[in-house]
Amino acid sequence: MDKITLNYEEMVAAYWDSLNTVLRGFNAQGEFLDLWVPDEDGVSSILNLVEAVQETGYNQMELDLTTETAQEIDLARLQEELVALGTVNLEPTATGYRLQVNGLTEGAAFHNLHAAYVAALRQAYQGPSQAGELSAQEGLELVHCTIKGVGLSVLVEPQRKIIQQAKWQGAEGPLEVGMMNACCQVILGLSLLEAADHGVLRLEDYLRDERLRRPAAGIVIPEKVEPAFGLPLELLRGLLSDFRKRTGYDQTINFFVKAYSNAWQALDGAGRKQRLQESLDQFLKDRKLNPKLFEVLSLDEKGRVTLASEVEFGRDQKAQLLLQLERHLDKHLEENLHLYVQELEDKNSKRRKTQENE
Amino acid sequence: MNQKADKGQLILDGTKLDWHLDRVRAWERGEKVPPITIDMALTRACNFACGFCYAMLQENDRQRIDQKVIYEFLEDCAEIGVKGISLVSDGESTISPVFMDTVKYGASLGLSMAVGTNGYVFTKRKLEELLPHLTYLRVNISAGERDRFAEIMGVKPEWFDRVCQNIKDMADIKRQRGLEVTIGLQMVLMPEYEDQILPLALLGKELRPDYLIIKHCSDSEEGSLGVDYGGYERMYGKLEQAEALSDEGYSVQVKWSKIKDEGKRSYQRCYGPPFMIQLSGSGLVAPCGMLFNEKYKKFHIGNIVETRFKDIYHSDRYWEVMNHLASPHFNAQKMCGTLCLQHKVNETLDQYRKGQRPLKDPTGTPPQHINFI
Ligand code: SF4
Repeated sequence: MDKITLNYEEMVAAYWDSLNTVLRGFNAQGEFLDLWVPDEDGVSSILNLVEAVQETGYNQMELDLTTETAQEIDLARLQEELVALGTVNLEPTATGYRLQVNGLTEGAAFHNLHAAYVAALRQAYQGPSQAGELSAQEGLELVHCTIKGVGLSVLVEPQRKIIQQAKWQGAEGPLEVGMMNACCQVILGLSLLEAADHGVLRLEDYLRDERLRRPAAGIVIPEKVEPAFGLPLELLRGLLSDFRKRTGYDQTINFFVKAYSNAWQALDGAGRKQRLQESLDQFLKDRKLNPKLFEVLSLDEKGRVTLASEVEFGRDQKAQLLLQLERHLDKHLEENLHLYVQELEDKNSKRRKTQENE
Repeated sequence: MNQKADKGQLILDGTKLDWHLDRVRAWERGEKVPPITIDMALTRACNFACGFCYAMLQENDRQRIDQKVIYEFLEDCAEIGVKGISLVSDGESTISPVFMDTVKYGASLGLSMAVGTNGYVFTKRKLEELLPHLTYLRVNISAGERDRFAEIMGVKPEWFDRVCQNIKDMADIKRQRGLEVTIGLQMVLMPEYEDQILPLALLGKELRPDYLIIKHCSDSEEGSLGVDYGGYERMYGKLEQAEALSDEGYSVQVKWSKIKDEGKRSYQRCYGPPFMIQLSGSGLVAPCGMLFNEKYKKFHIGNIVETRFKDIYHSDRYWEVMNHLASPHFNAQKMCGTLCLQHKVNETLDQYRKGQRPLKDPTGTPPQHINFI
């Protein structure tokens, strides 16, 4: 079944009507209505409805809402919750809004997944497949692990143990396939030890939609907040232990730092500073913030960036923006850039004198 | 008044995190866990000027912690489940007008209280009033001879006599009144203070605190204090001789694990601060002292002078910063100074997360100072 179009207010009215007049089998309008019970909370009510439509086998749903109903509903929360079921689109109409949820059939596979990971996993599922076999090549070592019928093979450059290629075998269903596609992408360029130690942390970070609530009130431990991370975790650790067994590799302390991208390496100091300033400007523009908020003072070889700010803004706001900006640069420019503002000198004159005399 | 349940082992070079596995498990489940230990100061000021003092590198926007602020802070700590508060951090808390009240009020709320101090402003009367409320009192003293004390700690030579008298009084009061408090001395060892290792160990033997701990000196990631980590190895013999001066009732211990690490970390993610955070004497709440300077603004969470601690703890900002430290965006090997207060906790949790060390419920008698992990 492909698509169904419904009117929310009519559905609610019909439900109450049936409830008052019919004792059994009152939802004669459609089979899926047997599964639907409206809720006082508008978000839960619509969520229930979309789930009912999905379970009945529809792939696409359109739901019209009047302006009055929409005003009573937390539309942001509704969209956030619906992400787990399909791709969501909300458009204004002459009388209110039309809510479209597409890809419900595939979305069923992501149903129990934490909403923060659904969009990226769906994309990874639909994107280029990383399924396949690998065989040893000259100068590269083949490492393999299989857990619960899913295999992961990588080709590793033997000196620094850097993963050059990765392919999976045997994953089934959109969730597992999406997870393994993403995993194969994320571990490229990492050392085997880094992949085992932090590969899943990186994968979680890569898949998480930062616009949605963090998946835990406290610290996010990937396989605890979302059990689907358990498989890549076991596989990545399995790769390392396979490699250790075969080669006697026994390094446990991990000093891995990902190399700068080729594009970044090709730039000189001024070029890097310019790229950094552009990325910073974009960050401020996207947030409609004062474009003069931060200025790049320096950027060293180790990726330490010192920013200055002449503009007065709230203490907490500055701290928050700096952290967000660093994550933005990490994801959109280069992985190893770290932001600082100017150092403050010790105001304790006695202590400072001691330091100056040394 | 502080009443210790029993006399377990005194762990000075290690972590007691294993004794708080309920919190570790809750942390792993993604729950908000209150810190077990908070290390803080009541002021950033100090009446000494030690050459090794890390506080020089920790300047931030100073605010004043008055009695209202600290009382509310202590009440919040007790309410959310903090267990121990050590007044150490980046200032000399004993020179704050609210020092005595802080210790007494904290203890009355059921919090374990501890102090790290240069030991100068005490009098016998003050010590008698203070010691019953403390789990431990540790005097920072990095020399065992008068003139070297003056040089190293940036004060007049006669201050050495007063500090020694105070240490002796502490030990006497403890013994005479049968108090549970542990009296300790701490030497922050720079390679150039090698000549003071044995004189200090001998001085301790005479003054009779419970222990002397000798530890490495921390430095910033840029090496601002100029600590020569390679210089410690030549002192191993002297350090062993100092340890051999231990007797019944006086233990000399070297923080071998940190000294031997030569300032290197085995971990990149930092998982410790949710269990053990630090507050600056300015009221600043940050994951740790190494991040106090204004330079590390991105990690600054709030200030107890402006916001109640319980609100800071529950805020999204608090957990955003904690999550950032535990994420792939953070690398302690590159971004932190050497061997922070949380180092052992970090190391333990990192090994656990990497599957290198299981979580095991401990058995036997709990160690002393269990709430100071
Ligand atoms: S590892 Fe770094 S961030 Fe973590 S507590 Fe230590 S100094 Fe602070």
